Amino acid sequence: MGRAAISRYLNTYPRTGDCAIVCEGDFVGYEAALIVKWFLNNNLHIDVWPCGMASAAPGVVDAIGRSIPVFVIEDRDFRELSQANQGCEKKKDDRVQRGARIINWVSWQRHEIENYLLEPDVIFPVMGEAFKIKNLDLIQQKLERLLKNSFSYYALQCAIYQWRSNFPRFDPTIQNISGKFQEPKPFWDSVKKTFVFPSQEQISNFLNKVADANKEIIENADKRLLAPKDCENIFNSKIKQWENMEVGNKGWLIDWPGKDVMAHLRKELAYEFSWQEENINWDKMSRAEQKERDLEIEQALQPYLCNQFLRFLSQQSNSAIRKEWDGLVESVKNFKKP
Amino acid sequence: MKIRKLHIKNYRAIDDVVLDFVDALGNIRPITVIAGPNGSGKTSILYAIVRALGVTGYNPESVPEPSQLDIRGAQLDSGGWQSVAANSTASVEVELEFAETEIKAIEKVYQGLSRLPQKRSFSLPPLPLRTIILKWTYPTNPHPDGRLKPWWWIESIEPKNALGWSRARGATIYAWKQKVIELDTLLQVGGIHFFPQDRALYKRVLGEGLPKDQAGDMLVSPVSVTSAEEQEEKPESKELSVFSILKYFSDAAHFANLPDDRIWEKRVQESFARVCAPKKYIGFKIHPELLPGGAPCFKNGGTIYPLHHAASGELVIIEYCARLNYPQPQNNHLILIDEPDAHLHPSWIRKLFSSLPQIGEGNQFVLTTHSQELKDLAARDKCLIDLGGL
Repeated sequence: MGRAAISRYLNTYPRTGDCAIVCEGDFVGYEAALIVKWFLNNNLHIDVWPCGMASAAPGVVDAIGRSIPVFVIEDRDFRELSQANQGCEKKKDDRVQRGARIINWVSWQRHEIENYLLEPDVIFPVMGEAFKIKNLDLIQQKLERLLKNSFSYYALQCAIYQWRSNFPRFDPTIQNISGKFQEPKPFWDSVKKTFVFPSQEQISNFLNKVADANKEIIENADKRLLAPKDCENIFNSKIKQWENMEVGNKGWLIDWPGKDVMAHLRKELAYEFSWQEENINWDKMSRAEQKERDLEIEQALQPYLCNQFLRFLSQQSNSAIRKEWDGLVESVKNFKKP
Repeated sequence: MKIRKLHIKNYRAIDDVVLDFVDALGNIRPITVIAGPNGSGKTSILYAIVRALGVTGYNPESVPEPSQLDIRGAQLDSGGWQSVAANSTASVEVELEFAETEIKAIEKVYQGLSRLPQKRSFSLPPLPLRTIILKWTYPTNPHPDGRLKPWWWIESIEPKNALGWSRARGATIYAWKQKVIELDTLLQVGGIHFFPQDRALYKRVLGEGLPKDQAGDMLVSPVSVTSAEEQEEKPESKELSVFSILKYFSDAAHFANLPDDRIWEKRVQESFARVCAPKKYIGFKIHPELLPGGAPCFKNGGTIYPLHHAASGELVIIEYCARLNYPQPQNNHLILIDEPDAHLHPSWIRKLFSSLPQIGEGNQFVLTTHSQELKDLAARDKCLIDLGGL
């Protein structure tokens, strides 16, 4: 974009930061709280623009990126990191073509922001204080059991995500997966007093149903699409990769959906140890009531988790997690204003 | 001493409001931000806290002494004073919490005082919940003999006979002066400190010099010394200018031969840098021609400049850093700041917000604001009380 065109946008930015960080989530989410504080700790005055979901980021960048340099961070989700980087690079180039000033466009190296807060040194002390659990080993045991029970469910999520991401957006097949057949989902079992995740058999049945239903469409479809069998292959390979996860492994911490893992752990602890001296019986609540109650607990924990994570991060020196967060700051510091 | 809960009725702009200063886990928030438009009662809330806690011995000049005009509904008309209804009173109920370390320190204070020859009897009932509840009303009720009780009189207190807890700060200063407690004990007992809006910023910062009788009187609080149980003594608080405090710190650092951990000037420098870096506070400097009497000085890159050349925002920050370390670092204190954002760029507001909890230990900050920046920060940290309208 030429100098005259750029000058139209200067001084029209409505906030005070030296650059904007566009991320997923909303204004009360973990990203907004953590990113502002982390950059502030590094003497950078930035504004955070949560945009809900990654698909909305290009629009936000179009809106503000000509007035202020923008750094975009999107969730990695179930993508491989290289795959995510490729996608980010493409989006960055597209937006630069449209005159936006992009500092960088990256994805988190972990599935999403909650995956960082699940670091045992972060989540255990916070959950311990919140639920008044003095012996943090009890939380670890609870988490171990969750990992053992839920790996096949997350493998299914991953398989569907990767499979679906190969379909063009307008392809009606996507509707068949998410609408016609309900994915098997975990539910709270009041007898076992825990979340019960779908069995591998239930998951296989679901995959077969989807494959049968989409057979015709896929046979006639674009060559770029994966065959239904590939969905099952992804599922099986993830099962192998994830079936023996323990708290000490990094695999689950990096690849699994942190938001879900955290929610399940939170709900189990609330049930077993009560919340603010009140028993929480998830089975006696409707789905909406469960959601409302869990949100209340999540909001109470949020400032504690954010502060504990920032403390944890400041104590790290050469770890991958510290390098990643330092890298965000370095990108902004090294960005040369035109 | 920190606030858990506050109930204000009929006081200045406040009709009836209950405010909670604890988070969802029941812990007192280190910072609470009260946001709202003009006239919503933000300053009234801070004044109510200060006045309801007059019994602590803290009586800053910047908060007007209570009068009939403070009772909601009172007004002046063109003919002069128009009084409120005869039975109208303002009331403030405050639930205070003491830290465990503070409780132990207060017990030591009263043990120390009881050893003095002129000892008085002190009532210090146990606090299993670490809390007391004070109720202050204005006008106060008369004594049985018809004499009016003074405005700082506490109407009721729970547990009964817990006045010693509420007056612990004054008693601690007195015990320190009488040399019956150690510095560690003094540093644990919290009080209250109020920073008013900036109407008199320049006077407060650059005002009167250090009175001779206080020069060299290290670690003596300007808060009046009060006995533990006598409520009739009027609380008196004299404030030194920031200039004087900084000179005092500098003298102490250079001439008092103090160990490193008692050089409060360093703490001022560190606290200032947390907000204003790369600008630095470098201490009290003398220049034979330009500053023959000396002045607190700052450095920005290669430039050194004295306090009276500092930007308004720098004056605000240096005032917080100085007062919250004078005459010794304030810990377990209740610190009220009325509109700290008035002179600050949003980036400094953010830094101030994040660095306040690092000033002293166990302090509770209650801030008021019009600033959207500060409001956003507080909302994200779940420490916002929104009086609406922003």
